[in-house]
Amino acid sequence: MTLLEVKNLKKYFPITKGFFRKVVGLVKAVDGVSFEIEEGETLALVGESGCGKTTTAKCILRAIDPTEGDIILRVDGKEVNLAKLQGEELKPYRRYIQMVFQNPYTSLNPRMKVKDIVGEPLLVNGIAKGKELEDMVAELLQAVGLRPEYMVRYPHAFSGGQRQRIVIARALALRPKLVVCDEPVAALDVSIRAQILNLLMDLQEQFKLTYLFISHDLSVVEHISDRVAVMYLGRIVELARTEELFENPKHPYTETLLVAVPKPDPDFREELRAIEGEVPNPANPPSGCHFHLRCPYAKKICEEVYPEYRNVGTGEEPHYVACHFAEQLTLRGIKIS
Amino acid sequence: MKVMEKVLEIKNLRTYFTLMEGTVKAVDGVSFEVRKGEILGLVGESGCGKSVTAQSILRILPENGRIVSGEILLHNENGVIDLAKLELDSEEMRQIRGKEISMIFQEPMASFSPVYTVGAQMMEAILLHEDVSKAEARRRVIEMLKKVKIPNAEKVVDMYPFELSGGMLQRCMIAMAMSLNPKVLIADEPTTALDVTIQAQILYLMKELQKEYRSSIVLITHDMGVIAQMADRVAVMYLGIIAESGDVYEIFKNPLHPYTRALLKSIPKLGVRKTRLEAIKGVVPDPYNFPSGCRYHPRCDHFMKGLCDVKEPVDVEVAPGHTVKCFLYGGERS
Repeated sequence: MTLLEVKNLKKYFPITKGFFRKVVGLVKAVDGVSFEIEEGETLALVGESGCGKTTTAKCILRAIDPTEGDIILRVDGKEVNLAKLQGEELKPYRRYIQMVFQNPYTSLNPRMKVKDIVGEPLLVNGIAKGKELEDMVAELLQAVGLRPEYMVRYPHAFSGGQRQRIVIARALALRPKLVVCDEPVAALDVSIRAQILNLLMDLQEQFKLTYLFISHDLSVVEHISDRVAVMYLGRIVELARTEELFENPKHPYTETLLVAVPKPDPDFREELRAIEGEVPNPANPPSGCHFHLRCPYAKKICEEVYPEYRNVGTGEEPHYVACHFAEQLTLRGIKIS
Repeated sequence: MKVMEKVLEIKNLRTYFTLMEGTVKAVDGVSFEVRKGEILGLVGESGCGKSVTAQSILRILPENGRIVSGEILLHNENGVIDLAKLELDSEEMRQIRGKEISMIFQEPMASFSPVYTVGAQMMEAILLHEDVSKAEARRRVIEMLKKVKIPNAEKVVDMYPFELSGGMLQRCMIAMAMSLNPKVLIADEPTTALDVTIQAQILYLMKELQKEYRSSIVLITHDMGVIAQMADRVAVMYLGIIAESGDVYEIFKNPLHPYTRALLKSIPKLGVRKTRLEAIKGVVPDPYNFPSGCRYHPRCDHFMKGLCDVKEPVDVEVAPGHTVKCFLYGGERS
């Protein structure tokens, strides 16, 4: 069953100039993004910084107002379009979507005890108070692998990995349907990352969670996600099942990303080669296909026309891509064992 | 293994920090050598002392840090100099910083001064160390910018840091560091703040330049992928000591120290899917209070009671050039 459907989502930020803040341009941070998330799956959103991953997530959470498009959430047999609701109307639905932030050092209030941090969502929503609240917090802390006694401590007493566990416990307090994880392990030490990734996978099973997993790290994404959407300059350029996308990439940008990841194996050295160019300024994206300036396969048409985002997969195996030559190109993927 | 000329030798370096809460033994008996024309990878998690090692070498430690003991030997034409014995602000030390040993930092945006143009900052390094005219220095800066493949070098030289992207600034920093052709380049997490495609470009560039200039690089990173791609030899650090060191193939194909093994197992690899990751248990211990005996023993799967928590293992050379500090391979003081 589809839990969330995002249709043609757009978020433009104005660029203003001068005393009267005259609008002189637009940054199209998210420019027509569409995808669906099935209940219980993990959809990954990957791309380089500035490609619109986090802005997409913020729109879904309604932390910011989308410029255009629909965000349809299906819960408890109801269907609501979050993009069309405002203020108070949104309140009953906020509990269904929660977020885990990137940096656990800045996303916990240093003046609040753990029990107040994790308990706040329960208190605000009038779910529990007093002793009952404390029991629920204890249960949540246990679920994320922290000792309930720790609830009287302040965040500074915890390491990065433990703090991220607190952030996860807070996100789970309201038993959400969808958890948006925005680079949840990027700020953590290498030896701690595995613990948090394992925890996220365990919790998904235990609480029947659906994840929208945002990351720039393809090896992490491959590990945790069922499907992957690759974003470039505000648009999805490729979306497919994880194995399919990694083994059989159809967009040259996906291939570039796969090549660029440094493999922890000295036998794969020759792969490190020059990759052309940098991500262009999103306020002034290139004409035609946004990737054509860096694409080794670019032809004349790529400079002029933005390729249609279409399904090039077979019936059971949909594979969406926005490239003029998706059918012709044979790109290098990574064999998954 | 062919013997190569040593450029830099660190012997039993100890760097401690005095804080209100106690003494932090950030580097606690580290020895390694850097050979001519090689890339030495220094890998470890945050707090293991990799950056402090670099700061000790250049003598740019924060005020509360001091080198307690050990030698930092720089081999050059005039013989051997022990940097650990030099005064911080001595003329000799100033001549070495930037000219003999230079450094590139993690955050390109935070490492350049925002109020001077990139070119002015790069020229300063040349003018301080060499007796050349301003025009000549500028010409050399432009030449270096072209070397690091910056488009429009003549224009970029007069730009301010905020006008350039992170990747471009990191190129400028590399150009600045290489402009005096140093013997040793210390790169402290040079690509951590960059996107993957830009990271690949910068790593590629560093390798090309290293081949051309035949300089040695000490590459500090926490990313095993970057190490595997770049390093000739690797030293794995844990809590202020080098747990294991050896040739890059040895470390990746035949890791021996339980920490190295666990670290390599815990990272998700491309091409291997949706199995549970083998996480390293526990957390990095409190820096004021290291575990007794082997520092890794509370997290180790091979913990031997009465040995690992009592005695500190010493270096064992298991194969030529491959040393490991662990009782599993001997490691008891004979």
